[in-house]
Amino acid sequence: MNDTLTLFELNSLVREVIEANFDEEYWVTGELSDVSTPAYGGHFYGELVQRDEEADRIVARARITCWARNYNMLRLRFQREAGETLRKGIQVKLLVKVTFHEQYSYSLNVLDIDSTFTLGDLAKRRREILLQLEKDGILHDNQSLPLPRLLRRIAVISSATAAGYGDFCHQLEQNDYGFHFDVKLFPAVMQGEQVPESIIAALEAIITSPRGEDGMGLFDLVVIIRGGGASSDLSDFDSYELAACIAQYPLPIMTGIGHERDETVLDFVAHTRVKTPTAAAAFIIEHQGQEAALLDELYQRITHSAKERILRERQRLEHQRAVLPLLFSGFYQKQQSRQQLLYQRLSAAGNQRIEREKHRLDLMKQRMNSLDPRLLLKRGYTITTCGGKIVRSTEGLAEGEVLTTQTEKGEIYSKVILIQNQ
Amino acid sequence: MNELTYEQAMQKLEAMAQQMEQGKIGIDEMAERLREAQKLMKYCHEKLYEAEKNCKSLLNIEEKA
Repeated sequence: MNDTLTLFELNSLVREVIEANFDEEYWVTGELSDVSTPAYGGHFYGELVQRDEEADRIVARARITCWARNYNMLRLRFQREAGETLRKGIQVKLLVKVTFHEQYSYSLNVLDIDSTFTLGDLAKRRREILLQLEKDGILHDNQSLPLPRLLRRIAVISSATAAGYGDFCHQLEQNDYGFHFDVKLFPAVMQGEQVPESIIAALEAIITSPRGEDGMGLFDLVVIIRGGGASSDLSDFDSYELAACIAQYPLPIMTGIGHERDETVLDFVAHTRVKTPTAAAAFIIEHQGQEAALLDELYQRITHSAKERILRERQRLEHQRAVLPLLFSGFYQKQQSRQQLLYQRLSAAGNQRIEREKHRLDLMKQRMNSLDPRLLLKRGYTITTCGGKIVRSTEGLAEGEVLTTQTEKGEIYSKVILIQNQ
Repeated sequence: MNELTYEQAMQKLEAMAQQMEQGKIGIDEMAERLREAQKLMKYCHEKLYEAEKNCKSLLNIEEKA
């Protein structure tokens, strides 16, 4: 059998078989791999693979192409609907036609793409990450950090060239209150596979920044913002490692990376989430504004109560001043009358005592007078003595003894002639 | 006596008056005690007068201020 074919002839046969048997269009799911992003207007080439989840190896592989005209239409729609670009690593559901070309061999020509499938897959991945964070008990850790009263020192993680960073800074500078903010940029890759690693590195750089003179960390808040303008891949942020790092971060983190419609895992773990960089700046300004209003109110309250107090004390003092002379004059009068009373008591007591003693003396005098023997002599009595002793009886007397008899006027001397006892 | 406060002097006088009223003071020491009482009275009066003078001048200053 002279059946030796050229490769072209063989490939042509295969092509015929394939075209005859695979003339329908098929919905096929798989992971995009080795994507070559064409310049605008170019064709799209890539690879679709299927992995064995458990063994983590590729079990099927196919080249895919999408012609420029179709690709430009699909790309825009996919970006709008899924918030994603057709890039390596995402799960897609494609409407394909199986083709075989003698020169390029087997490939799938992409006709359409089902955005909802990718969306569902991303959502599933996000859900899994969130579940894991919850299981680890860290999902709400950053959210439970208290927001500092003053948000003045702000670390920004963004790409330096992004318009969003400029918007953020501009908005902060132009605030109506005239607040000053210290903003420091920690550049990070905000698009592509390096996003988680790059943001984690920036977060580490922030926390290891030297401390300020006050011994405090240098920052009150970390803001992760993504440049506006071109739509980027939100799923780059859906990383467990990055989410866990943010959840356990010691400073509150604010995200402004969200799409108008979609959310990333970071939005669920960050302390505060806003849509855009300008919204992040507005939040910070508003927070400061509220704090300033509170301070103002406190100041008013303090000064008001201080004034009230001073007024009250002045009134008290006035009252005391008015009352003091009265009190004193009352005291003075009381002491004066106390002294007078004492003086009266003292002099009365002294006089009384003197009078009593006078009276005693008088009585004594009377008694003394009444006992005076001269009074008896006056009334006719006499006193007889013998040898200087008063004679009260015959006892001791002898006849012939001389007696002296005292009368009121003169003395009589006589001799005892007879003693007659009764 | 100079070390006595006004109140101490007044209490001493009070005690003296009570003793005299109760006749606890002998005639011999009466004059002596009365002399002492007079001195205390004078002392208290001076203290009160002094206090009044000071207070009045202080209150005057206060009112002028």
